[in-house]
Amino acid sequence: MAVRQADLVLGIEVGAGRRSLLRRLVRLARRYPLGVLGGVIVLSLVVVGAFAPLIAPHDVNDIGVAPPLSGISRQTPFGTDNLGRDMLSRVIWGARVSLAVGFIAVIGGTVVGAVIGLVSGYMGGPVDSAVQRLLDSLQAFPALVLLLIIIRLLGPSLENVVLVIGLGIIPGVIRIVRGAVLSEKNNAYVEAARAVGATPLRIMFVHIAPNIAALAIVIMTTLLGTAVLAEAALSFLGLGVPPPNPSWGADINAARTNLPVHIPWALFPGLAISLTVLGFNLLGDALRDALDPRLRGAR
Amino acid sequence: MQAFIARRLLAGVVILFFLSIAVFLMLRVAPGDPALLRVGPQASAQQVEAERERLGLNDPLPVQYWRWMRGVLTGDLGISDFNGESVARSIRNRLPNTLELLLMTVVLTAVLGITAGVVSAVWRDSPLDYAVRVVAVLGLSVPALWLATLALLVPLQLWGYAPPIGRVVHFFDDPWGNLRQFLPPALVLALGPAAAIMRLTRSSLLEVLRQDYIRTARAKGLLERVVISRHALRNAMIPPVTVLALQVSALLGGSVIIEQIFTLPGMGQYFFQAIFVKDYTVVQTLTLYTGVVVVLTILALDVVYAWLDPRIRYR
Repeated sequence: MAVRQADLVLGIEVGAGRRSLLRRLVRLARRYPLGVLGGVIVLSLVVVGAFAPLIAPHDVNDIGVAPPLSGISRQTPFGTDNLGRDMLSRVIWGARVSLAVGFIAVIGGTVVGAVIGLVSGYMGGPVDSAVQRLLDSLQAFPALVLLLIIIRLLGPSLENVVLVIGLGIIPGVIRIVRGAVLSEKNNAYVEAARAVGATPLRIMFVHIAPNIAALAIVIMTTLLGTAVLAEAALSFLGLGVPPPNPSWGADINAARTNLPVHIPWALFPGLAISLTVLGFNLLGDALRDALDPRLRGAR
Repeated sequence: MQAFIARRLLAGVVILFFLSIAVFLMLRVAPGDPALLRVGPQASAQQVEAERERLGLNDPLPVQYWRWMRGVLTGDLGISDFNGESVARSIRNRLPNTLELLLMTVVLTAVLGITAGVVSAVWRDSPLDYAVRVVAVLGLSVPALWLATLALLVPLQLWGYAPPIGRVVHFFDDPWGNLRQFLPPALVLALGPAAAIMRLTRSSLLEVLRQDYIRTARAKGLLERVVISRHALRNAMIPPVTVLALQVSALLGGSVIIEQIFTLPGMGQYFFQAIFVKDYTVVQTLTLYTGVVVVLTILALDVVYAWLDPRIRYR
């Protein structure tokens, strides 16, 4: 069921023949205009991040681009910080850092979580109950608190930020994937595979996995927004991506703790975070409605 | 019901026991010596050793664990070595502030989220519905730390206004002063969860309104108001109430940041300071305390379920 809708959306429907891929995409775009908006936002941010060196007018740590705490002007559209660094350039480079952290952490965390959820859900028994008890204990524990403890112990670095955010999303992924596997494994195709002697490993990864792929895509899109927020929070608290890397969260914190108050300094990095998360949320909502009705209303 | 609550409390104690061991071990296997952090990098090996001895880090792990547990159970947690205050007294002073912040946030989340969700579902596809949904998706996207920062910086820039900072004004001494301190952080903290609750309430209520018993209620000629409030709402509340309870854990995490920004002397701020100086006892104890709050919240949730849906019976 899910896979058929997924194929439809992704344009790989079997025997689709006559209607062109483009026509189908246009039809989908009409149905989910907000999803398209989200997709456009995400895509633009990825482009901005990828080509930051070409787009940014100044180096992120170039001091004295304009007088410190300059306002919005033609030369510095987003103003400058207390060292006279160009905020537009910092926001552009921040997209690169934020998205890189988000994508790597979410892809890694989803893969690990999905494998655990798949095995736990399919095998059942003591493995499954052990995983469930562990998740229950983790639930009694705010994720941010856990991230803060681990990162403080490991020391803040780009790799560790990716690591803790990746770890942080694993429990949620396990739970959702496990639930999907539990309902998936009652299907006839699983029974058929077992009847012809497929090994459990083969059933899990060759037969069931493709059927929960659509679900994984939906989870990942929403989690990307969460990861961007988490990165901003860690950096804000001084435990995120260390300088000289620019970070939206760290810039908001700097604007907050330095006097005199200079609104543009805090305003634009926050707008960038909000826009990024909004893009992922809109895209995630539309993908969820299109690909996986099971998740409707979740979150 | 009593037997059920007793059993769940017991399960909660078991979870907390595992949680305490997990945090305890995590802090000890991780790199970074808190003794070294206290005496400074210039200290000699003997000084570091003496500091380790003083902090009790040379004792066997079970001894350290037992000492901490005894402290937690008797309320004697010793002196914090970063501000020289009694840990128990710090917690006593700070806990009410965090609880007030949490309580206000949960109430705001529930009231705003559920009201908006019901309005949006009842007047489905009206301009009002669209407005509420747009606000909700924005609420999920805007980071609380940024809103909080702007909530402090903008009034400061425009009117030179800053809320009272540092010392907490107690509600019964000065209600207005207390609200000025607690309402802005609670509102900022509530926005994201309220948006999530709103979306969930809306979809849940729409789902319920499609069911047969609602058609029956309408066919009997009941007023729409009665159908919604007496028949649909209670059943539709189960998913939002579940998520609301689970949000409490996330709010505890969020309070770390919000208390930092609004300089509210609460548990979140205390936890953050303790993490920075690797004060093991304080980090462990505060973690356990968050665990207790979450376990009790989830228990309360199960009790609320039974009240919302009489079909749910506990054995």
